[in-house]
Amino acid sequence: MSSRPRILVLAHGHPDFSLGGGEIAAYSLFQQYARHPGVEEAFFLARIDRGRTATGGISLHADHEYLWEQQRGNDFFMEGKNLYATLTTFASFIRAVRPDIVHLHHAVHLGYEIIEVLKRCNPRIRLYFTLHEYIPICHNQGQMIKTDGRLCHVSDLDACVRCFPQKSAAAFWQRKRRFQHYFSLIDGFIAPSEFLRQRYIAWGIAPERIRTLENGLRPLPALPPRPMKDSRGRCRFAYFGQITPFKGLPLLLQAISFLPGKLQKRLVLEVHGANLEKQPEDFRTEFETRAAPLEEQGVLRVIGPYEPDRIAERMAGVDWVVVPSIWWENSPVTIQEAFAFGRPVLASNLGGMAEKVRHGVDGLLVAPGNPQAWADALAETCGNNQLWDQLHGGIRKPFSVEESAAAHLQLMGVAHD
Amino acid sequence: MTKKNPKPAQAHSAEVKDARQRPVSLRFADGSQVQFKLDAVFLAHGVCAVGGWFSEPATFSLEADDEEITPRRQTTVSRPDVNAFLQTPETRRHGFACIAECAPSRTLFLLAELGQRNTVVRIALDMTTADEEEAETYPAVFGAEALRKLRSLLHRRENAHSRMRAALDYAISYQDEQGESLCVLSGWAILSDDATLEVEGEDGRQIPVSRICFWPRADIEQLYGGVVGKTQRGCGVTITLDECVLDGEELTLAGCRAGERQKLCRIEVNQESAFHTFIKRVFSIPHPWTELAGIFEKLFLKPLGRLQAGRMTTLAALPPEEGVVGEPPASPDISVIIPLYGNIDMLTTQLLCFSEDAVFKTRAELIYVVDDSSILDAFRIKIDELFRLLQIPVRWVFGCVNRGFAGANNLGASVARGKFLLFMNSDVFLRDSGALDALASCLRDDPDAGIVGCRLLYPDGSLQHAGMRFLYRDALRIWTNVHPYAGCAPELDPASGPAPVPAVTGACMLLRREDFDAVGGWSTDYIIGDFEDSDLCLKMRAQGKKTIYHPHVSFVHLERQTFALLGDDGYRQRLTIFNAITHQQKWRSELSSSQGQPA
Repeated sequence: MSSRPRILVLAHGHPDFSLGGGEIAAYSLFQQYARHPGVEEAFFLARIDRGRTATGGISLHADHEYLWEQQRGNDFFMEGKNLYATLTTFASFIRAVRPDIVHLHHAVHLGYEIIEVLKRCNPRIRLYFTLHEYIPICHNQGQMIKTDGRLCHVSDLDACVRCFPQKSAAAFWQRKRRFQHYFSLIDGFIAPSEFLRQRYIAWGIAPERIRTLENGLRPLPALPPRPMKDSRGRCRFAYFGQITPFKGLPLLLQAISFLPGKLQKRLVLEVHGANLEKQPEDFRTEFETRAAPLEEQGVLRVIGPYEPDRIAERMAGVDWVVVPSIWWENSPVTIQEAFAFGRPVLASNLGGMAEKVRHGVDGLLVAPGNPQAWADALAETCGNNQLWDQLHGGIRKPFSVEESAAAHLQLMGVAHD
Repeated sequence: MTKKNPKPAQAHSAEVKDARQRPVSLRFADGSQVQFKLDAVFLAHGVCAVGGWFSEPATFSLEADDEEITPRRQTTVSRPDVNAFLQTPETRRHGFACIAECAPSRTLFLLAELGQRNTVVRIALDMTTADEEEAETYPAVFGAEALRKLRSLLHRRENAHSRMRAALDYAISYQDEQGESLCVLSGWAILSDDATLEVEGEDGRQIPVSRICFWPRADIEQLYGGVVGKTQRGCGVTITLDECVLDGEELTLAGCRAGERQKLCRIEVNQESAFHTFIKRVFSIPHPWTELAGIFEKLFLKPLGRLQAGRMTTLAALPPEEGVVGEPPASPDISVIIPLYGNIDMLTTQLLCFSEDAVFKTRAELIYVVDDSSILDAFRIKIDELFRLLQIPVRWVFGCVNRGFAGANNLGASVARGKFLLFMNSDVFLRDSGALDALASCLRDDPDAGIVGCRLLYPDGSLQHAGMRFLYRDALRIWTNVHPYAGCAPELDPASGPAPVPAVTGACMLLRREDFDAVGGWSTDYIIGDFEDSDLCLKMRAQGKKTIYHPHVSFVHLERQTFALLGDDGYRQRLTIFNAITHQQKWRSELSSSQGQPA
């Protein structure tokens, strides 16, 4: 690129209104692009639905930050609710902003038509698309989990129709065909994990068109190891995140119940989690049934949700961080945070977790969904100060947002200075 | 033994349970005795006949459920065998025959009144041992006179059984704008061979039966087992009337035999105002599958052909509405003609695919034929948006009413300007760029080629179409179009290059404009749509032009069953069989001669 580019970051939400991982990653990249000397100007456009009908109107939210009022469209075909507004309001916004590069995050509810419109406005605009989940591959909210709860390893027409019997194979064929059309207009794809990248390659994106770039972690203060006041050693474990059926918490509680009584007296598991009350009843019952006796014994402490900026306080009192998910976890920010604070991680040997944790170096990888394997891992680590010191020493500083933005700009061909 | 006296006036009564195995003796107070035996008990068709002997004179009657039945006939019969047994002179006629009419299900007793003794003997007639229709095997028991009476009674009974019966389940009529009409009656009728059916209007006028067909009705035949005339195929009956019968008129079906006319049943006529509803109801009549060819040929081929032709003439005269978004090429090479019916779910995907093809953008015009008024509004909104999004110019034409596959495609062709016409279904998707050129050069390179079809793939990538061939279905007696290798992996398709085939599917085929015009376009003989594609290929062959299958050009065909939208209780399959009959009436020799050709 001869001159400094103008970059527009497009996301499905603004962190001022919705604090999802995708929104935060998009917004922090926008902030980094804006202050980068190689970028002329950076803009942020986020979808918002304030229940004001599908006006499709775009409004200024803050300096260089815009909101686009769009209701939920067609989730199956990723069509925007108000295509006319995409063709008119959005197109005129693009002509006014004159971006050279558009970095798309998560086009959910915006509609993939925006890709066609961007190229129609200016065929020279380069489009980069960060794929945060599997929405184009999987209609089950892009999770690659079957509607009966099992993990989905390969999507094909028959498998998709089995999950959604009310949809036809012809509909799923069209869905993929349409996405492939729009994706053919994208100049480069970015996957936050190699696991996710491989899934998209298997689906049909040419390997040379998709790169793995980790989401950067926001700056966090350093944290000393937990001061030890008794002889129990490094015996405090903590879980951070939502309490949902995919996060594997009941499995972890079951693993603790397998442990000998002596070990149980020593071990403490803190659950810093939210949204249990929003889960299906049978899951809540399972969690509560397993939790009650452990809480009684003092093994389990359910501490509840936390604000993201209070994470350091919560991490200060623990030794190990556990990530027992039975789902893929593309780029779990908890692992990055644990490493930033110098806490070794026990994680399922699955998907993005298997990439982030190096077994025996900065944590342990555990057979996913296997309570006995988790019991063994807890037995091995609980109070094992020597192992803790070794893994603590193996932790690398996580990829920061600055590093991530620089890597993105390099990928987009933007000069460093 | 004495239990009950049905005739209290009589002093004595004796009850006997079994008088068939051996002679029974009844002793009286004075020391005398009466001997008797039953030799034959006959019961069939509501006629009961009892034959046997008594040692002394008696008068007979039957008793059923405490009710006495007076016999039709009772006679004495000469029985030399009994004279020998009782050692009486042969002038004594000990034998008797008693014949009465009674319902078959009742328990019966024979009452023998011994006048001399003021006594009635009540003999149970065990119906489990009653002979059925075997009276003739006992001529000696019954005697000539009684047998004659028995025969005449039985004959009368059989006539009564074979009295005519009928019921109608369907009475559907239709009249088109030219006044052509058809009324279809269907139900069942039990008639003797010499009887005919007549139809009478509400005002008593005779409505001529234009055509009539009998077919098996297992349910009715079971109900009235063994009474259906042997010369008819069955007691199911379907009748067509060419005379106009208006909605709500009550028709009477009458049976006529030897000058005798009997009203059998009445039915109110349902007149359908929409042709397709009429067709749907007519083809919902559950004629047996293997009888359809015969029934349709005899009953429906002519009148429905006439109605269909009239309808297509009327529709062709309706002025279509046309529109355009964008600027299509001024003189396109290829006109792509796509009829739309039922919904526009696939429009976006189809246009996205076209938008990726360079030939399409510069040298083709796209014509959508909206063949369904219910989708016109949504279509016009969508096509406007899609043009802004994809910049594909679209011409559209709306023919006011549903014209069916052939009518819609002919309408599209009438506004097309291309040198080549590519007829395509709305669920077919461009896959390889350069596909249109490859198909067109197939016609450019071979002047004898009239139609070129392509490979069609299911969404899973397997073959949906690799040319069509004709297959005779013996049970149905129709020629059908089949897709060889359907469902196979494309590499199993034996075709290695463009080659002649018996026919190709109308889902995607390319023709020269002048060839299309020379054969008069798509045939509108087929109701709603079937067989137009093979018909067109056969018409082209009659002009000396080949049909080519090009295996190197592939499209995706999602083959949704568009017509399933019309609802299906088997009517659509029956209509397809009807259309198959229309098809083979035109092309029978061509169909059988190309049967063996590889497809």
